[in-house]
Amino acid sequence: MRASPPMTTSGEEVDYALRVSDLGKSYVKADGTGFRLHQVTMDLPMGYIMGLIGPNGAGKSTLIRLLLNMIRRDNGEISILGRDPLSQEEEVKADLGVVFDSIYFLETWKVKAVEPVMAPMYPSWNSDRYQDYLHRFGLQENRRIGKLSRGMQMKLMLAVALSHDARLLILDEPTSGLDVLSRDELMDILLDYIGDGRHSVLFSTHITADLERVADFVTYINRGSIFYTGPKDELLEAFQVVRGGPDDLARAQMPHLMGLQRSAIGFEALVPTEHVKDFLASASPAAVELSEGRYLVERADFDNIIRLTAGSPAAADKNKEVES
Amino acid sequence: MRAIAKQIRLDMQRCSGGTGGYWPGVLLLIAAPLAGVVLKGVLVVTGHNQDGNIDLVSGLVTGFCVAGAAAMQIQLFIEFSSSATRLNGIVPISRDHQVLGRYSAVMLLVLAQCCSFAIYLRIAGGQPWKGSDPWQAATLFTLAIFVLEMLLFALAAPIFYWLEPVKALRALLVLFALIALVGIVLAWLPMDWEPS
Repeated sequence: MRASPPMTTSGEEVDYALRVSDLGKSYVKADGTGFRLHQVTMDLPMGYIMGLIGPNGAGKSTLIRLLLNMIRRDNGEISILGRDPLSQEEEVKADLGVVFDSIYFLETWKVKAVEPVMAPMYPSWNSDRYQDYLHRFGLQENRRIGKLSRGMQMKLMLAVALSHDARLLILDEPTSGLDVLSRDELMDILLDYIGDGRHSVLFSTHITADLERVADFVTYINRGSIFYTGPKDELLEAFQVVRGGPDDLARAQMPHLMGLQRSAIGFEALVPTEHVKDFLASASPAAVELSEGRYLVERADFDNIIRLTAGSPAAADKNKEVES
Repeated sequence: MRAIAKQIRLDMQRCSGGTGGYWPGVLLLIAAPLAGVVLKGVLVVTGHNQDGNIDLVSGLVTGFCVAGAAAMQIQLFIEFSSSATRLNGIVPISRDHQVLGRYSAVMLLVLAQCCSFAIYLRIAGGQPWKGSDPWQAATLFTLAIFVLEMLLFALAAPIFYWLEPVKALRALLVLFALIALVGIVLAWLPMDWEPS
């Protein structure tokens, strides 16, 4: 939420925490169906939080695994903190903090085993800070990791990620399974973390309310392609949700909408803000004024955008190339 | 080199079952031969050191060593079948260094196990080939165990990297069965394996 200038650390000036261009990856999933991440391009400037959103199976986790070199990319470029994660993997990962949706330590380990394992990995490991986080999160060192709740496991990963001064935090669904208080606490930590302008956060989530609170940028992936990447507010301002009765949607209005969901009681359409007037004018009979009461027009939120574009004809057109 | 050392340390800690230390895993692997030495001492002191008892102790020690080698492969299954394998994608160690480090760690562990086994053979006198030079027999036997364990690991590790954990475990069990089959076939061959 801060507009900080690029900062210098260790004499190294970094404008972007993350730059991805034309990234591609194809593979066959366990169920035998194919998946293709196609021409993904996005930039995350230093000092900001970017949310990664999209329906299940859209490619969010694949993108994160590509960023972490956990799978090989087919094509495209990735730059993390100004470095190539392929040729400078160790330097890049020393500056990365990662939180997954499930714990990446063996569940038979005790909490106290984590620091002796992770501390030697990072030159900038701060033991005092780590102990502070354990205390703050209420993590008892003698507990087995497998016995911790999902929320506590997430906090353990977060404590590790925050204790070696990681310049970029990558979080894959960190808030899934957390109650509202824990989610709020996490969001406060993230806001605090980027406060000095020399840290950034990329996090994927299904809980878009979290994004609306903390994200500066949003990248929306749908069916393996980028639907939108840029400032969060621009995406929210770019669409309106129009609701109407079952007989209030005319064929002439269809070209003006990006997504549509029909039900017995009416329809819900996602319309680009600049097309709302045309959409209304194309109605039969034309509805020039919203006050007529035939249509209810509201600002779209992330959930509306995802729900209405995930399976929409317009979104499908956008992704046709990917599917073919 | 530093990255490889980090990976060796990480794998030693993994083998040590989450204590955070490096040595419990090593101690576990060398425990059987050392326990064999102690047991032999007890047999000698109590006057029960007949051939049958010594052979029994040797059998137990060898069995535990084989089980240790198998456990090392099973450890791979445990790691790859859980989300814990993602730790490999996070730590600042490149993939090449991870592979080199892992093989080095296993080599060190197996070497420690083989050395303790050689000590057992020499001290406890459980001689693998009767009538041969004791030093030569102990050296050859432990060398054979070392090569066998390393080969087994060299085959098992890529299987777990390439296949899903359950399929990899099945492939590993087939591999074990094949090794046993080769042993049975060799035992049936009309050859004198005892050195003259």
